Amino acid sequence: MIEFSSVTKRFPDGTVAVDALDLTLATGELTVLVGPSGCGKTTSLRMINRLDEASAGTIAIDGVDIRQHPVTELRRGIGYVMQHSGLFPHRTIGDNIATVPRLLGWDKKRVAARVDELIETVGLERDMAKRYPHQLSGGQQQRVGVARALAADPPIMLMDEPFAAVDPIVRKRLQDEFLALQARLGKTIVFVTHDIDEAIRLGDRIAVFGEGGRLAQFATPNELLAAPKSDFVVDFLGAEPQLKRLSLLPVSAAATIEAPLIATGATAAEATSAADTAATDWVLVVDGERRILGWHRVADYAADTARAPESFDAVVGAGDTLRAALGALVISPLGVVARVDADGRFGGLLAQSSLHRALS
Amino acid sequence: MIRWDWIGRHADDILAQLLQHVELTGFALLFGFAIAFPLALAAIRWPRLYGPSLAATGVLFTVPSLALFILLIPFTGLSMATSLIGLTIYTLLILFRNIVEGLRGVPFEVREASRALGYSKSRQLLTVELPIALPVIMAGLRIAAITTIGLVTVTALIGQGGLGRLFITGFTLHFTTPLLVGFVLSIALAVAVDLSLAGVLWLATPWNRGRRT
Repeated sequence: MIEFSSVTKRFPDGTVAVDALDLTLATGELTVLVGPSGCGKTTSLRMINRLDEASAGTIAIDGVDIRQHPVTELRRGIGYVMQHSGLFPHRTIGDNIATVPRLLGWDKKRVAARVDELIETVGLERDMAKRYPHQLSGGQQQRVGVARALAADPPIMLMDEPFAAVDPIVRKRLQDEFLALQARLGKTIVFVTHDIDEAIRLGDRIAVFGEGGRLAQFATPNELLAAPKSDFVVDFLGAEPQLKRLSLLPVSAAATIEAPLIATGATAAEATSAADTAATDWVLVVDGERRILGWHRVADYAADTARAPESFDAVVGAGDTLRAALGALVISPLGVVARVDADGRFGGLLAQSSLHRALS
Repeated sequence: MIRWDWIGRHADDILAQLLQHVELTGFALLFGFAIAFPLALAAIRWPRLYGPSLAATGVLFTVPSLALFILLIPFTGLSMATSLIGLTIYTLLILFRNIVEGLRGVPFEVREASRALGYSKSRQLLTVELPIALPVIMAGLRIAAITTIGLVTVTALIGQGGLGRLFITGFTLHFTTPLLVGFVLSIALAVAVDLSLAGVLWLATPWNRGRRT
């Protein structure tokens, strides 16, 4: 747990970067500090490992004031990743990753084993250990930066816009991998970004900073989007907050509606009864494995039960987001989306009302 | 044109002068570095020192060499000290400027990273900043070395050894052989020292190989 108690940072020129900040960051959570430039988010991050010293107030980690440790010891116990990887250009990738373990005086074998392990953890090739940073792409350098921060297995990681300098495609991949890594490691992470979408994607909790280093709101991404506390937060969240909320929720979070399902070869009466029960004028046809084959208008099916079904493509997987469900919904001829499992078996039907209820 | 027999008879003396030339150059660079390095660190720590330090070393650098040696004679006499003081002074400007530039050229994010990872200041300087600054510092050292090798020939005029002795001998005797020997040896020495410093840099900076401009 990292606790800011009335922390203020005033720079020598008089600007107040952070103003009486009270904030508690929970252990094992990824907290994102987000806000416009000059809002004090980076300064707040840098005060945790004393790259910047607080002018007033205290910061405590697990109840212990950070000024009680020698500063080098404090920093060696906290991982740090920065925007431009900040790798040492004169050291190989392996030596870069080994930095903190060597500062801590680990023996050679242990360092070498740890470097090997981390290179794989962050998705790099073993033979890269002997290369120099300038021989790597920007995305690869950021991976090394993450590996270097993780090297001594610190419980806390500070990340200052770590993915801001890479192109959008690489950024998306790094974010995905990073989320998977965090799900496995469960570090206490403080993550600074100016990109609200990145904050929403990654954060367990988001601290929105306003001008002048004041905290505007501290909430989970869903709470933030559902109930922004001020106009400033509304503006900062940007357009379509409801769409952003949908992208946070899994398809499984939405309630399904009654589905008019029939098996292949069903009678006209069975089709009519299924449609009546669901109050529709169409039915979905599934095979013996409950895989969707298509749909019929009940009237057309009653006239000719041998006709070929119309194709039905409005399908989402259970792991997709409700935003994907909405995308499928707008192209669905029936105004509904079918949820299917990994094997393509029917799992339920979603309508616009399902999305509405998930958001309210 | 060249009296090889003279060279043969004076080989011991020529070698001694060459060694003394190397010795004077080496000590001048050593002392110069010992003064310029802390001065450079101070100028980085307190930027206000940089201008005056640069001006001071610059003014010293512009004093004509012979004049400087003559100025020093009342204090230190016709001694090794006089020539070493003079030679050291001439290395200061180049060494100071290049050490400062080299250390300032260390990228900000690299210095930030080493702070954030928990380096102490001295360890950061020795294991991060100095190695990265090395190419610029070595460039200064090479120029200072060549300049000093040239200047050592002048110190012969105040009675010190070095290849300059051969020039004096040549001029006083109106005899070309020692002049040519001195000329060839001082150039060869400058080239050899420059190449070996370049070689040392190449060995010491494996990360720079293959991306040198």
